[in-house]
Amino acid sequence: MAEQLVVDRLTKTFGGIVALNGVELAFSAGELIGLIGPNGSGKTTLLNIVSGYYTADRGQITYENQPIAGTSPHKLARIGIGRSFQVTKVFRRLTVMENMLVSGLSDWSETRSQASERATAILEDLKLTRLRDERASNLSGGQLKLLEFARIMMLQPKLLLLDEPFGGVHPELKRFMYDCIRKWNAAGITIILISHDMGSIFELCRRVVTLSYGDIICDGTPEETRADKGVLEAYLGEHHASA
Amino acid sequence: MSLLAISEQAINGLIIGSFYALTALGLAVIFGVLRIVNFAHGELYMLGGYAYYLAIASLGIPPLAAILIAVAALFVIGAAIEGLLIRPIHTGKIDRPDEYAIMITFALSVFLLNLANSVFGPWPQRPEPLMRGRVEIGELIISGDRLAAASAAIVMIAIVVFALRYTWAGKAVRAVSQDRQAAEIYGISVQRAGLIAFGTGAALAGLAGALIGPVFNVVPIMGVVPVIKAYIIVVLGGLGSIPGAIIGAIILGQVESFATILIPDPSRALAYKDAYGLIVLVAVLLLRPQGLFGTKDRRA
Repeated sequence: MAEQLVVDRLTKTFGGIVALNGVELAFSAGELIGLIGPNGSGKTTLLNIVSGYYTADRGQITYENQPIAGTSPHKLARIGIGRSFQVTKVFRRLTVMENMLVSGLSDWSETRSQASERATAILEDLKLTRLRDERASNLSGGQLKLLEFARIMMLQPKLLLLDEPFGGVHPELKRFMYDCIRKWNAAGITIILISHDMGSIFELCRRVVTLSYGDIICDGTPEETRADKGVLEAYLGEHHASA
Repeated sequence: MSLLAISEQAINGLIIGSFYALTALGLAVIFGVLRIVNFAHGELYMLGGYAYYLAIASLGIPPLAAILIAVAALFVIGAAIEGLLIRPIHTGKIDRPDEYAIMITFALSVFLLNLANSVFGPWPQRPEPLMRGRVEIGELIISGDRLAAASAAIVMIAIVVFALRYTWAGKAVRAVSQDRQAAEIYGISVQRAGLIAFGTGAALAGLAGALIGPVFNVVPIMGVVPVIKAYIIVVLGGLGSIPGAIIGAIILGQVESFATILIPDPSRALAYKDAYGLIVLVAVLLLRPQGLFGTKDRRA
């Protein structure tokens, strides 16, 4: 498979803290990767650099054979890098449909009716049709998560970076979100998923990358990750891991 | 007080309120999108006055076309200021962006004020008004220049509010004002939205200056008092709130108009005119610190 995203010797420090320490990773098109690690291991920093919110101190990022370091987040969104944040990011004073169309129409590449048609189909897929004229501020936490999914799909992403999408979500809704993620991945979208919910990671992902203090300590299948002593130590501490 | 006197004061308040609304709306749009208080807003107002005056006096352009030229010129000036001076605040190139925003707009204010003094001199200029004469509605008499200027202000406010609410560029600007980070992941260019916002804010201030010029003269310091009132209005209405800026301006216009006639000595009443807004502001903030339309965690 062709490498869609290549992260080459990426380093990022905040003051004296090394958030990423020469990280090297390559992701192929169509992969579904779990990115795990204890708090402060550098997962979100990596996503922030790939999506253009941070600039790396050193290293390169290549997306579809093009260097993208220093590219602004909105341009990356337009070339197919979709992203969610730990805290749901939607415009709460716009309606559900307006949220969709702000995404779809801001580059003027399609007409309003084309964008509306696409938005309607996505909302239907995500069971949000009846809420299309509702202000986002009136939506529940779960509905906001789905709206965030919907507005990401409006940008027709080829690479999806999901940061803790299952936080505070009802188990039934979580199942529905799993189905969406699997469906999009089956359609060819590469997905990098950050979650502290190990059950979700191991159920969804075929490859799991573990970060600890800015270093990759494991890159393998879920089974390999579960069995890795370094991963156990990173999560539980050396003493508990050897017990 | 007779019904006629009440009507006169209400209309005077509405006219003055419409000018205040124009200036405050520009300030609110800039604050909403760029998160900065533009201390040079009064000088953009003044430049609008001079652009209108020059278009008529030097180029011989009719007043209505001169208004449009002043608005276009101030949009371009505003966009240039945003691109050159304001943008670094949001690109991470400035160590202390909040302090930089205060210093750069304050410095720009001083620079433009002194530039106008050097180029045009401190003397007042009175450009031709949009409309001469007076309009009589029953016993009510309204001067034509004020009525035309207020009507133009109301039309412009309606256009801006409509554009923000119903056009996609306007929705994108509103989106950025709600959450810059979210706007970027939606694929919206926050830089373009910032440019549009500062350009629009400057154009609104410039229009207010151009409309007021024939009524109260064009002088380099003409923007100082109106912009203080605009600050009062945006805080009164809720920082960054568009409806708040408009309603706040109407309230201030009415308070100034009616408070003036409630004090028996007319000269004293007029001398206190600029203090009434501050009294209203203090009263509102005591009861509702976030302003009339603000929320405690307001982002726009």
